[in-house]
Amino acid sequence: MHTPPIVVSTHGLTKRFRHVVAVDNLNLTIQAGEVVAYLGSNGAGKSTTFRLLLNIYRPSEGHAEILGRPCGKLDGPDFDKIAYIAEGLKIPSWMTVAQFVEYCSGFYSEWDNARLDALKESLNIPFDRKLKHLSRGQRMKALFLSTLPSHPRILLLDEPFSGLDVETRAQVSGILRKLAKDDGLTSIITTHDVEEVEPLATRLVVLREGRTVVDEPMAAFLSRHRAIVIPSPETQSIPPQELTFKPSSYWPGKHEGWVDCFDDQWESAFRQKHPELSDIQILPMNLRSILVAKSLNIETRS
Amino acid sequence: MQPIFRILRKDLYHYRWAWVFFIAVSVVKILLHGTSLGWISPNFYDAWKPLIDSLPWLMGFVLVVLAVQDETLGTPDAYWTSRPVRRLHTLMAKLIFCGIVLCGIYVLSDAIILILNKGAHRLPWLLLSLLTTTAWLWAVILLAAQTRSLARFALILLGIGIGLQMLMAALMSLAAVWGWMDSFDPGLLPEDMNTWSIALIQSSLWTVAGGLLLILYYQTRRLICWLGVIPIAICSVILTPESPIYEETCMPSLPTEDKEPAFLLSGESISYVIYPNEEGVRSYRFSARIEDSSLPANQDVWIKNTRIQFNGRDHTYTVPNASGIEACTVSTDPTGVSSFNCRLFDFVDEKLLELTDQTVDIRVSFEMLIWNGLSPIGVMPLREKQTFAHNGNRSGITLVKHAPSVFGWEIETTVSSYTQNHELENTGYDRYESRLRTGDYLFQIRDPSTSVVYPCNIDREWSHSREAVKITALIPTVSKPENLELVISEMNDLKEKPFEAMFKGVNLRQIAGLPPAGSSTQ
Repeated sequence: MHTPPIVVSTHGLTKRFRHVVAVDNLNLTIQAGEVVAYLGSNGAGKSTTFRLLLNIYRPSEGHAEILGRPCGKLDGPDFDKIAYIAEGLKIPSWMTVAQFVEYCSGFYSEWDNARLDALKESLNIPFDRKLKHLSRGQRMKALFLSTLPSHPRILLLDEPFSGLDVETRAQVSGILRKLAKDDGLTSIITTHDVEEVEPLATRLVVLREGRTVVDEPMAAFLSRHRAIVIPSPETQSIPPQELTFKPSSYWPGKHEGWVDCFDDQWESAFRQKHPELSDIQILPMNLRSILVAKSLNIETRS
Repeated sequence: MQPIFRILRKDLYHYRWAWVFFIAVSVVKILLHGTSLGWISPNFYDAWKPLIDSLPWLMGFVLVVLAVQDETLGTPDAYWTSRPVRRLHTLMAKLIFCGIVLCGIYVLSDAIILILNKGAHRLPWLLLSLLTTTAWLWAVILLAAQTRSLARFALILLGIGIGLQMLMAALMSLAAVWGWMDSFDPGLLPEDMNTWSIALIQSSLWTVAGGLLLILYYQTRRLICWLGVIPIAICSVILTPESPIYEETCMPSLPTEDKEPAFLLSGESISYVIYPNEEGVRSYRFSARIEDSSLPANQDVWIKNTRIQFNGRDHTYTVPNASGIEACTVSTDPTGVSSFNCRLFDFVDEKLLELTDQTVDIRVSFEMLIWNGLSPIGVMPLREKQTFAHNGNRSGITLVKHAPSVFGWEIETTVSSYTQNHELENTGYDRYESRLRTGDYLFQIRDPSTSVVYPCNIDREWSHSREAVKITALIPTVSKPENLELVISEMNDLKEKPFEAMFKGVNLRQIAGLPPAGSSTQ
């Protein structure tokens, strides 16, 4: 069976800013075609990882490669097939969108005007307006226009949905989905808008304080998490430690919880052990509720 | 090359209006300095010259800073660092941009001014100016690449300036406390090395080393690269004649008490004249007849850096150094001794009356500028708005007025001098002082009807940014200036000769013809 090539790999990648460890011993391998949701709370080290991959920061330890090139040696032409779009990038705001796109197009070895036209049509952006007069969402769109027609092999998106309205989010999601499907574009997306990334991502990586706490396919991650609801009032006397699922303090006073190792075997074993819980509800969870539940659980335990 | 020109084209387009303004200012500068000043009134010239002179320089640097900051390295959010643009290509584009600013406009305008002022032969010396500016430019580019806005750049620049000033003050204090000043002797430079050679070495050192460090920095983005500046700075400080360390340690100091001067003169050679000064106060001007058989006869000598010290039983008093240049005519008596009358110091009426009858020793030292013949370079009627150009400089008469305080006429000229006269510095070497910032010319007033030549004293106008030279000429008041000519000459084989003398046992009250102290009824 054909194994997709490795696009990004990191080995013991660590970045310290004085006494703060932003990224701690990150080991990551991303294959071509994967869409990775790279999540974590504020300050978890997501953006720092991107900057390490792009040779903007120099690692304190470890090393990383992107498209087969050591990240520490990336310069000029190496970025021909790497697209990086981030919120708050310093762009020449005196240019119009058209000037900016034209200016950037000249640096790439391959520039697809047909794709540019298609993107222009779907993103609906005022081409003759100066970048400084654009809203945050429109600036993000301008950045898409200035990179995606170059047919990148990897797309690094740092908070692409931040501050975008519902319509624009849908547009951006649509574009990303199309690129992943049609071009097999490898993407790494950091965002706090997990609802947007959940349907896009094929893989989930979660960072906490610079360390990887989750790294698995998105579908597997979602399928092994279930919310458990025990509606009968009489079962509330069951001590939580007797339950095999993790109690949630999300709704205090109710016996609700979640489980992170759900499968058919687990369900039958659970029902066998607690026959009195006949009206138990086992519900699928979305990414957001899983992350919130995990976060609260970890905080409670700590 | 294509990305370089793409970035360059973008920068040129972005700052197109600044370019237009920059070029316009440079054209005005050329008109102001490179053409006859006759059509401009002195007031207009005085008002605009500082601005016109400084604006192109300031604008040039601001343009460079803005252009570099467009592709800054000082923030992780710069979009261009993740685009297929080599960092060195970006640096090259910025350097070409700076080259256009400096060579294309700034240096070109200076070159045009030199040519218009009959100084085309001095064009190669603009290379030094270019090298010096380039050396500064590296530092500007580094700072600009590290900052994301002009305001931050200015703040950091201010911080560095204050820091350096504090460091220098601390070093000077330490040196003074531990007596390093007395023992410091650079001794690294050959005695016959001139200022221009040192400047060329320094500028080349900074330009080459700074450029290499800048390339290294853009390539690695490690600020630690700039530690390489330290050895260059140390070399540069040692080589810099103008640096405070060098000046403090190497400048000749006042003669000390225990050292007898070369000449011991009698107080009888001191004379005085009385004149009302500019405030109308009666002043005594004391002069002395200085004899020196080695002086060339019947020609002018220039006296500068005159230092006077009174050593009396009651007190010691030092007259501040005179900043001007005094022209003195040497005469030779029948016995063959050459001498000249030299102005020493002024005392206002009241101050002289305060003196006691105690005698004082007056220690005098100055530098004589002696030359071997004159090469006339221009003659013009002594009228306002007259100009002449020579050797890249342009002088114009801006004011002619009668001045009772100098017993004659006061003539103000404005000299445009951006480039130092390196030829002159080569011949008359003076490592410690930049020589004759007055334009390197000898001014004389001539009456064409009688062919009488009157020597002129020269005072540089130090106030604000005006580069005026005040020439005072002792002309009989009956003469009408419009009938006179201003003769401008270059001195051949200009040399400097230090002079020290001491007048022993001088009673100034007595010389001035005042009654003994205490007997006055005033």
